[in-house]
Amino acid sequence: MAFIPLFGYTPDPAGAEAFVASLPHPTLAEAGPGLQAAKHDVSLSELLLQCMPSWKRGSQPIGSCVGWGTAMAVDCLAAADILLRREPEVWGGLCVPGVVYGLSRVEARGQSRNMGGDGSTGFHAAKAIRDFGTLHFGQNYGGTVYASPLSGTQEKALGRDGLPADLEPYAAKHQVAEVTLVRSFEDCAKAISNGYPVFLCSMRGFSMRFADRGSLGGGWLTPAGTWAHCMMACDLRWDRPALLVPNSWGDCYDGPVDERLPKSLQRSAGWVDAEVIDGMCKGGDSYAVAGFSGFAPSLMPEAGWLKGVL
Amino acid sequence: MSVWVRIVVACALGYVAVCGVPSLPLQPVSPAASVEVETPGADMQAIVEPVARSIRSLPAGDRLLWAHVWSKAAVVVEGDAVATEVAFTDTRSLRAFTTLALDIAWRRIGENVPGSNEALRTATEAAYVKALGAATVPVTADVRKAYAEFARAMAWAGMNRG
Repeated sequence: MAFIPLFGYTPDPAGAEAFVASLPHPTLAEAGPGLQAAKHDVSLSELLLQCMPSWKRGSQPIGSCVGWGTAMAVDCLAAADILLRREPEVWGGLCVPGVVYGLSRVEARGQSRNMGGDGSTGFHAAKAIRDFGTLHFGQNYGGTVYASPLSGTQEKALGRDGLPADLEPYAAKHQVAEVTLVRSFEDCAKAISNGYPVFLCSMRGFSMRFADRGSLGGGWLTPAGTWAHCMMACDLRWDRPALLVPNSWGDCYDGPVDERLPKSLQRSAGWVDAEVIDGMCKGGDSYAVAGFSGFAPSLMPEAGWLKGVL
Repeated sequence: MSVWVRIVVACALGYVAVCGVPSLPLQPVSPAASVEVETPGADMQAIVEPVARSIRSLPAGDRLLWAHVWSKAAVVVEGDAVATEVAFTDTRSLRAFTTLALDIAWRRIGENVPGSNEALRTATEAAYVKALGAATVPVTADVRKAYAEFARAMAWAGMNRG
């Protein structure tokens, strides 16, 4: 399979710790003391696909994984807000990963430019979506429309210069109200069970070939090597406790897939065992997200729409 | 009458004289003259009451047509997203389907002139918005259920209250 495995997570444990300490609810236990993990399997990706049946995982063009992992967490959160929590919102398109990436490198760091190499951190991405917001594909922002995946050049520019000032007010309309540290598989399971996806920033690498676990099916990721990488987790299973972790490399995985997953996830996401998730969270830079300010529904005319018929 | 026709008729009469009148196959049952719909709940009855009022004065055939359209619309929407690709993805597509169904059945097949019963139009639009809202939102199982319930109430209004 031809793809370039781009990463882009640049860990900063001290910075992450300081950020988490600054949160009103630093940990999931404090953010949602009453949250319980479901006893059944949970799929937030299913909600995403209901909102956007044509969904397909793209490929990060540069070391912007932090933007891609975080953006997909926002997408699943938006879908859960609409379909699970029945918030009066509509689907507004996919969150633009390059914008999250740019905001995390420039605005969230209080800089006007970032001339460093590719990459960002989980806590800066968390700060970006909470304090500066998100932009979405297909929306018209005063004449600027992100119609298709951004090129590497576009993502580089965002990572260097941040979001153009005239677009910042649009992004501010779609912020995530709360980000909170997840410290274990149990935390992630509680968050996902309640419709709050997580993004995982860690050094954990995996084999690019799925393992088949007999009656549990294929699609299992085997830990291997080191990836300074950000991904997200959206689904939960209990037959062998694990989370479904989509990558941001398109249909990148080889080997036996989990046939029960939708086609669009079969080769772009894999199941990661609970103890491996525990290890990924140990880095202290993985977050659950909650409270997306979504898109107000457009209204159809209440009267006159049957003129010419009745 | 030509010679050949006379011969055929004579043969037919001769057959009947010898063998009796042949038994004819049963004719198919004529379409139901009513639509069976269960009585909606009180809330839904209240929503469709203005529709029932505005349709009451129409000929029985039109009321039957009305009931058929809405009861079939309920079946169509309820059956969506069962085994095939989803047709109704948001409430805008549901409304478009409703408009098309009424256009085909009421205007084209029923030959009702648009605008000839303004009260029916306004009552139908109002009832629809009351039952399903005007916001463009994804069609979920709940929305399909609500639509089917509303459509059956509209059929009931035509048959039982009209």
